[in-house]
Amino acid sequence: MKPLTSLTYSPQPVTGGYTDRVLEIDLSRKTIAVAEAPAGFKDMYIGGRGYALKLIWDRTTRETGYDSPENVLVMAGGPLGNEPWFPGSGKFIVGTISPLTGTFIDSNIGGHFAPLLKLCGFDALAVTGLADQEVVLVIDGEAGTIELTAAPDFGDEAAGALSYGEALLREFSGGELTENIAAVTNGPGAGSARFGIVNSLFYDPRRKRIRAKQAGRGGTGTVMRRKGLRAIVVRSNLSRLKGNNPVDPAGVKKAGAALKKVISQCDSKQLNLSSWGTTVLTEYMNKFHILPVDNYQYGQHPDAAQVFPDVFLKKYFSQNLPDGCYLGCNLACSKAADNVVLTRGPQAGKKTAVDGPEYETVAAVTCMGVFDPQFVMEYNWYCDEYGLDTISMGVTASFLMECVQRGFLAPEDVGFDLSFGNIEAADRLLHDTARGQGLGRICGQGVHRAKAWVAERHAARNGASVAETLAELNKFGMEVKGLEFSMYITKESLAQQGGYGFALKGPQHDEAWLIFIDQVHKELPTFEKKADALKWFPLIRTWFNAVGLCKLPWIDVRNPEAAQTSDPAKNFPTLALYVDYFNATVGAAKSLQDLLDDSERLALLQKMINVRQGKGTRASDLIPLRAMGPAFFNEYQARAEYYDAWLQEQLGPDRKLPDAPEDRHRLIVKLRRQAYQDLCDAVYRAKGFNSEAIPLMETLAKFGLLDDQAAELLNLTDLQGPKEAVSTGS
Amino acid sequence: MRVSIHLHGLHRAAAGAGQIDLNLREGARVTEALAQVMAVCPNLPLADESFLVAVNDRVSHLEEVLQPEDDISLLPFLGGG
Repeated sequence: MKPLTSLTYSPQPVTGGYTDRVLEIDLSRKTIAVAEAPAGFKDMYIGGRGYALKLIWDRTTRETGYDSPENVLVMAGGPLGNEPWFPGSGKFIVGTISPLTGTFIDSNIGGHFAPLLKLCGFDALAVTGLADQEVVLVIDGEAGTIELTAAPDFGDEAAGALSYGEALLREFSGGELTENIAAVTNGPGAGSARFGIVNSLFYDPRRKRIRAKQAGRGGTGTVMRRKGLRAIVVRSNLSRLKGNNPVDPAGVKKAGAALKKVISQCDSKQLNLSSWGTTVLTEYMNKFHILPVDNYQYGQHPDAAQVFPDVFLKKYFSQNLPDGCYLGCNLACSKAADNVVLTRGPQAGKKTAVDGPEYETVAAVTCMGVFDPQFVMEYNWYCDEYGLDTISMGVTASFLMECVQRGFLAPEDVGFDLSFGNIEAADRLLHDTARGQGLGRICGQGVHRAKAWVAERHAARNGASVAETLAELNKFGMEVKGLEFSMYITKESLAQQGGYGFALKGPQHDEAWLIFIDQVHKELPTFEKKADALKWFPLIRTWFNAVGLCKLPWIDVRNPEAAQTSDPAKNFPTLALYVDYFNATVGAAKSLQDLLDDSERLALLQKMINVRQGKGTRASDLIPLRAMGPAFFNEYQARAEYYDAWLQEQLGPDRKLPDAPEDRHRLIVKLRRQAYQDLCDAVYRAKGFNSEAIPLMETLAKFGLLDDQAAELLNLTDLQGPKEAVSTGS
Repeated sequence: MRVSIHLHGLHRAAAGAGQIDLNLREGARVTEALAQVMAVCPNLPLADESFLVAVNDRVSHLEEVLQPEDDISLLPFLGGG
């Protein structure tokens, strides 16, 4: 591979989890530069999320689109990533301006890429510009070179995100794959759809094959593809053990050993993620009416057992293998099947390996009304190979299916029988979306844009108004801020309605997942308690994304000592181990509250990016009616007894329910809408925002974020109350 | 009186059944229901406070007095990935 441009360098050693170096690539100018992080930067803007947010805040503007040359694509781990002594330390984020939302998105992903990038001397990689030909970036810490080369062509057989990445890794390694080389890639679907993903590929010596994890949400792969960056390869032979060069190695080892002990003692008696992976969630979600079925109309289905975890375990998963996505993780939830024969699509007959499915992928398929485990496996593999998000793909397809069900789309709009439960239709739409053809061209734009397309066609055909049609579609088009919902039904959990509505990137559950403590445990009975949870959980959950860690060992393995604490759901005894690990690595003496404050600064910066990009107001936090309750009468009818009891509880024993079921449904909808607005008020107060969801001056000032741009935005939004110009004081 | 215990995930796999129906005395508590289940399925992982009990889809406790036709579920701690 002859480089278009290259740089020779000496990798900066890691000290206390950081290298303080950012690799900056400008694809338009074909330049490679190593930038030193300013003094104090890492303390102010912690980890991968911190780098990504600050770079996006400083280097992009309100006019920056996902495909603008100045849009920055950031890949970064964090100070705690890359330590086999501690479980779950292979995470990194991909951050950028999203093709779906038009504002900041960060999607987290596992694998060896970020640890190797750090050992190559970089805390973060920032890519700007647009290449005039497809290129590959090779960062070789062993050779001390960084090269930008024309993307090699491996033929049609290796054009997908997985197959291309494997061919590239084999070529780069001379055919001898090791854990010391990893890659990130995108696929052809990312060129057609707005929800393209970034795949993270690494060699698994136990399975003797390349495995892949995905940064699925928000279209980060679409940005990478649009930039013309086909793949990035990293290599370092440096030892991973103590790879962070921690200030207190004994402290790191002690904290890691304690967490591994909790996992080994508890997981097998709790969720059993080490055997079943996250597919185990399907069964519990179905039990509590939380599993999306037919575009979130229903939360439970008689055929759901066909996609329960034991089906995948017996029929597909290769067993008795430690399946961590990074070294040293004994939770090892990254399950896989090594021999799946495809039965559909352009590669029918091919025997392949499937990394997954995760719960989200299973539920994306049930959302289309399909309960076939073989289709789940094939859908999983094709989405990964095409480079498409299984969630956004499934939710957009489900939305289009419901448009057919409710008559908003006519047969001539679709061209085939796009009904819920039709596997062949779901399969066809997947491939058409990847190719950008037929209805797939619309599907690839995501729910938000598909709603506009459907509304215009329906209105033109029926003489209805576009606005009125759109208002109907908004009831069941499952997106907020332009991002499709992840796979949990929130109708019966007001707290999780907020968890999705207030999520800064859009409705992805990595900021808050409060369904069980709200809906089942009933631990959040008041608006104030809900608001407290909706502030606290997003801050700690996104802290994990910032520092390069997986949150599952904390949130999905309950430490037995938590039972004796005031708030067992927060699992404080395990969080204390994370605080110890942080302090031992970077040489600090921070408390949990200090870490939450670090995270709050990032959340506020992300909020201000949203304000700038037009996604930061109260209106931006509004969720579809279906997320609040039974949007249509058929949903009410499916659980009429439950809803009547709920309504009676709201009205009190002295008031009689309306006689007509239709009137009961209407009243439920009215109460649910009001409750969501009341929740908005409570949460904005708790977060230091005004009633329009804009941060108050003092809130930004407290965290050192009231710079010139922020002050100008607060003045522009004119939502700070009485006229009083905001000044930075500089 | 008759109550049902619904088993999911790990518990379902250990018991080899998704539902076990029990006949209990009037006024029996959850703990008595679990004792009966353990007599039938001794391999159920019910030690070490590693699970929650829900009665009629609401988290409950071992001393709750059961009513006829109650639906008991055994749940792990779910925090959301």
